Amino acid sequence: MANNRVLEPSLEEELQAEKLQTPVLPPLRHALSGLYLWTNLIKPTPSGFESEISDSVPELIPGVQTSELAATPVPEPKPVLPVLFSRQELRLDIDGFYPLLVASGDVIRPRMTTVHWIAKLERFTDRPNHFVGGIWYKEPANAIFPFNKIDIQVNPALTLALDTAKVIFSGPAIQPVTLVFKHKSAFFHAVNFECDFQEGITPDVCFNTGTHPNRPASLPLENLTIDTIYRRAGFEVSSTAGNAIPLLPGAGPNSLWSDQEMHDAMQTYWSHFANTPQWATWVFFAGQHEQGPSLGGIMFDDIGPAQRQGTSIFYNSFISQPPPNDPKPAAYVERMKFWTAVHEMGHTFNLAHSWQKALPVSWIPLQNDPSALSFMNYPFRFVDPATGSVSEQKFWQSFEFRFSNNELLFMRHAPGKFVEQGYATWFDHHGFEQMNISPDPVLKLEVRMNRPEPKLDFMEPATLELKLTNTSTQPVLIPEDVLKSVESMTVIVKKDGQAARQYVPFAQYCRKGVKKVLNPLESLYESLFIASDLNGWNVSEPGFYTVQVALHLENEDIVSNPLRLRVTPPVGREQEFLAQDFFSDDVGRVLTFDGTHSLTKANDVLREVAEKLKDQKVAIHARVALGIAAARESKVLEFKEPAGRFTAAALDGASIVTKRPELDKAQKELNAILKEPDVAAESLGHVDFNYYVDMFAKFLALEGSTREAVTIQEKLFQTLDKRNVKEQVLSEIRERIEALQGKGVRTMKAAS
Amino acid sequence: MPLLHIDLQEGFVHDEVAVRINGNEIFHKSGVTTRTQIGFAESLEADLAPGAAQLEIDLPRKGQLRTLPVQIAAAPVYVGVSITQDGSINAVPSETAFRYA
Repeated sequence: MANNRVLEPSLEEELQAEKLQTPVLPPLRHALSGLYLWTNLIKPTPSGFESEISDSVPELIPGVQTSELAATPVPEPKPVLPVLFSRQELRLDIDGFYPLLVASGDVIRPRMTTVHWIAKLERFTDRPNHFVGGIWYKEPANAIFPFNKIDIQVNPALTLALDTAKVIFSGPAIQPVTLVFKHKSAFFHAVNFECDFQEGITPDVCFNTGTHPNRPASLPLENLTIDTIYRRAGFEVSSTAGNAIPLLPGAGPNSLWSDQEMHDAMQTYWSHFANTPQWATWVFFAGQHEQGPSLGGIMFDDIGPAQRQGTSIFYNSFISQPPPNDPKPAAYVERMKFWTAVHEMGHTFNLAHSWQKALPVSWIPLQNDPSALSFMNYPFRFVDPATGSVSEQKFWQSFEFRFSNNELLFMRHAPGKFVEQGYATWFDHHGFEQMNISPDPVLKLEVRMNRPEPKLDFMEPATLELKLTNTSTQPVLIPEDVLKSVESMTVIVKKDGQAARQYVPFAQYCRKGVKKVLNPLESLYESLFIASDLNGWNVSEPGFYTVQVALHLENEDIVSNPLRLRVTPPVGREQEFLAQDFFSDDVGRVLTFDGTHSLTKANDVLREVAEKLKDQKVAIHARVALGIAAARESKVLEFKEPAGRFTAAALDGASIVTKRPELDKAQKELNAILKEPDVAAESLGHVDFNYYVDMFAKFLALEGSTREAVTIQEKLFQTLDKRNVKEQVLSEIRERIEALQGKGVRTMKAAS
Repeated sequence: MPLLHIDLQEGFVHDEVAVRINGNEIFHKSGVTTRTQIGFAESLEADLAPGAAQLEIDLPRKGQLRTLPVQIAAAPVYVGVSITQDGSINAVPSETAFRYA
């Protein structure tokens, strides 16, 4: 970040070296954005740690205890006693290049998980350098960090190094905490780049923005370097001099590189190579990839535990081919080489392509933007928003050689482990963009399981519960089926050690939009079956998983807590054997749609599971699918012979056959799950248990077994009452029973 | 003979993919996966006689099938195939080769 008082030596040299055709005017004072630190000295004691108040911690609330932050729930109405943190980092993003008006921070305490937070700021118009905002992001989500608002007063001094920021953290049911941070750096993170090159290749790390006529009229004309681009993104860039990498003996000048060869070269030639996270990138300028000239560059390092540390640019590819009739072909090529290098290096910061943002896995769900004017969009895939057509010309006409605001938000303010090279694996927690999260959300989304621990038995299909609560004091209007519409959600499922996946439902529904009023503190509930989808089984193998959901409303996105769940190992060889057939696409479909008459092989598997694993929770789900299918009247398209391809069903002698309900079969399956209703309610989830048992009761009533229907509803009531389900649900069940009682059945005794 | 180039691009995650031209299978592979950093999974090509042809992209395990009529002339034809977020197949023809970075 440039300033006209005290310049970082490398930045000063760079500015003096640039031949500016159009001057870039320096600001009138030094920029206040950057990294600030607060420290509190902690000394070890036999029992743990004891805090020593440093002189950098004024204005603590009187009576603050210096005990360490224990996992104590916040009691009401007494406030939680705040603790003295050993170190905090504050990243203030309020001026300089592309200011975002954002603050973020890390709370770093001994023997405890670091807590990361992000706040959107508003500037006071009548108070210089004073900002307030809501904290909208916290990681881990369940960390004890009870603050949701921040007040920042920056106090600039004569020199950058003496700037301070007084920060007041506040939240509900807690006294505010005030800390004074000292300026540490004009940048948010430091990073090292080392560029090596294949023998015979001359890397271009600089581009003069005035050389090609197709450019924005407002674009400053300057010699841009790769380092400058990343400095403006907020990084303190240091460069290590590169070397020529000799070609292997026997390889000609047109030799092709494979990913493995580039990875080997990185390990051999990169002076900073280490299989560990570090803010450092190796950039290799080479001839051509074995994929051919269609590949201009690639972040090849997506193998092993420490990924995203190396990237390559291929000069013998399309990036060196100007389009026909380009007015300045040499400048076009220089510009493409420059763009490609910055683009590929952006991937090492875990930035995805602009049109891929909604793909798994962003730690905050994203939306795609093929019209982004960013290094992370392909110029030749740019969609002109005015016409909806692809136009590379329009891209360069408007591109200002920068990242998008949300890419900057990610690089500057996301938890460092999501950005830092070598940390999060490629595409995990990648740069989130255009997440429209309100700084003061009125709705809270929870994803949870109604059981003491979020643990699933092996093969037990994962059914979660969504709870949407109006946390404000005003009624809120929301779509009535907002939690039923999986298509208006982004659901991410990630198994530890594997790439995260986005839940892609088997079916999408088009519903008439009806609004509903959600009163203050009122909640909506819905089940969410994430076990299986179009991509296969999301939750199957033993291990730990993380699930997070974002609900996309008209004007904002609501992001849930991340739910951590565990799948236990199989209990025997028979279960392992049956799992091979169970975890199939067909079985996933049958469970999703609550039964089938057509997928007969899947039904056979479910019957076998229900029989051989009768004591396992998976049997409950199998019986539900079998029982509900037997209970319902269904229509099936039956063929006399296997259907030919692309012929009309009628010509093949097919007909629609109505399958009548089969009372005995339905009763056999569904009564079995009601032998242990509490276990069934826990495994199916309250919403689905209520739904299935009610459906069973209705089926019995239709078939004339009213007395049995009442018994079933009574069992449902007692089970859910014991599980402390909300009164509204219990009232609805009572009403059903009373309706059935109108047919002359005995009165139910209410559960105590 | 003119070439038809088919690039399997975005959205493939360990998918089984079959490609047929005029009913003849020219490609069938399991485990097709997009390298997200370049938005590309696989590439295949076929020599075809000039004229109209019917291209089928089949994802048998997902029950998705997309048929695209293509006109083969003197110049090569390029088709980019992606799986969209809702699981359907999107096939986009192009007069120029696709580029990746």
